[in-house]
Amino acid sequence: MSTYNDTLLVARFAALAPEPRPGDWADVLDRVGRPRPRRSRLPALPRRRRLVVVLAAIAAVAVICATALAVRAYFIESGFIGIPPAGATASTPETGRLVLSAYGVARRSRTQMWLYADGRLIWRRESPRGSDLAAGANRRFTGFLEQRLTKRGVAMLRSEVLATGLVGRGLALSLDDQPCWNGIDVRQADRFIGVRWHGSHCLAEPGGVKGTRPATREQARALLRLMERLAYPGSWLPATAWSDRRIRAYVPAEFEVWYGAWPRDLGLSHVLRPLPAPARKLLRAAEPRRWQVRSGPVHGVLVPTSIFTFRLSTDDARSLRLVLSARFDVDWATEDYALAYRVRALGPGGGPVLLEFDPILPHGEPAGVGG
Amino acid sequence: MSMSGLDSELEELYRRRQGAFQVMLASVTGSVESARDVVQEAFAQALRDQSGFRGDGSLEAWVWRIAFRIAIGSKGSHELTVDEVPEVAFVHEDRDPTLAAAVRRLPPQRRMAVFLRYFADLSYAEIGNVLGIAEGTVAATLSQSHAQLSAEFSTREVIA
Repeated sequence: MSTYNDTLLVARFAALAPEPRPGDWADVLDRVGRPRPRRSRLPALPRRRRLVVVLAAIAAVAVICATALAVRAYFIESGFIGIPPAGATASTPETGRLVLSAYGVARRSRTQMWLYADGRLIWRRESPRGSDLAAGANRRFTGFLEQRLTKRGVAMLRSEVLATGLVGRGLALSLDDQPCWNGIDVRQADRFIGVRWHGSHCLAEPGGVKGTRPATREQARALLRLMERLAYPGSWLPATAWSDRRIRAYVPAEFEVWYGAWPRDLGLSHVLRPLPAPARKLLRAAEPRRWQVRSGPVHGVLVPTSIFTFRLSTDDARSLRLVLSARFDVDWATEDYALAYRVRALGPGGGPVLLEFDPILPHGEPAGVGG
Repeated sequence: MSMSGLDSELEELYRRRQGAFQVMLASVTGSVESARDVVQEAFAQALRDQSGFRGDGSLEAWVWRIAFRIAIGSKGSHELTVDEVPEVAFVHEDRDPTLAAAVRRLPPQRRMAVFLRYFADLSYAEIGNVLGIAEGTVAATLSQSHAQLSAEFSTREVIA
């Protein structure tokens, strides 16, 4: 009996699972004779024009089929929490040059966005009160979503930030009724210039913000307006700014696993010990790194802790999830926003240690799902 | 044909679980391609015959039963029974011949329960619902399967 465990069986079955093909709900509807959703209604055309349209359609189908034979795309049309389904097409290209990023509140929802030189706009939105988030993973969180801008669109968003005159001056401002950490960074040549602002109530907290000064009324108005425009570019950018307005899930090629917090100076072997053998093997091979930080507060003070991070391909992250899900509970406190498991080991605050999956963005950094 | 409340639930189930349906049903049909066709037809049949869902189990279990009936070619409208448990086998046995051989030696119902647990990711209650047996019976069946697999593994390989 000692050589068998349930977790191992989960992992071995996962390795034997075939890759599923992309789903097609429209095909299911066709089989029942139901109309497909959002079928376009083209006006009737004269006969000769109809022939031209049919020939053009045949040519287009031939091109699409040839492309599909080379790559079978499986796009996910709404956000998700954690790891994407097997077979989902990763966002391309895998890497990208970051042009602009922002993190702040607009329309009472917390938005984070990243804009890349290739036009990719990746964003996520949290609405703690619950609201109707289009294409969202759930009522509180969109998940990571992606749209595409044209070069013009990229230039327009960038100009919008630079035109405020707030970036590049080392400003750190405090504003009422804002979260503790907010910021905008925009690329200028090979460096980023930006502006930070913080909720006034955060200044006195342990590890809180130092060196800020209250924003003037004009600065506050300009910052909030800018954040609104960055968070909702669809409300003001012209059609020519978009190469693809459709919202799809951002599917990363890699994940960072964030495993902490542990009392200072614990070795890798020690922190991996509570995990099943297949998980230990996956993580040991995944560029483990240890970070010394002060976290908490625990009983009002920040305590020194270690955090371990690991880089895994999306397929390996999926295998790790399978192994962990058989042994540990998903963390209920974060499950609306991220996939995290409660590992049965004592952290510095006396609670369980969390192991969290964090998507890697095209510029190579983790998105920071914990916010 | 009028739209009913089950339409959106079936669509949501499809979008969330069609991949798992394909993986599991490939074990019955022998390939992902044919399994995909079974999944498409199963959801189409569920949309067509919504009156067949009596609500005494989960919607997902009901669709699983339809899918298995299609996969094994049973045309009747009766429920899937223990006698009708389909034969299941790994599509890619070569990836883990030891496990494949050990699973092949399980009796059909135990093998099916193991596949539903580890490929379809179903709970004990849902497996019971699909196979038409009590949850306790599922637990006992899986426990016996684990014991048999454990014995097979210990005589054939040592796993770290």
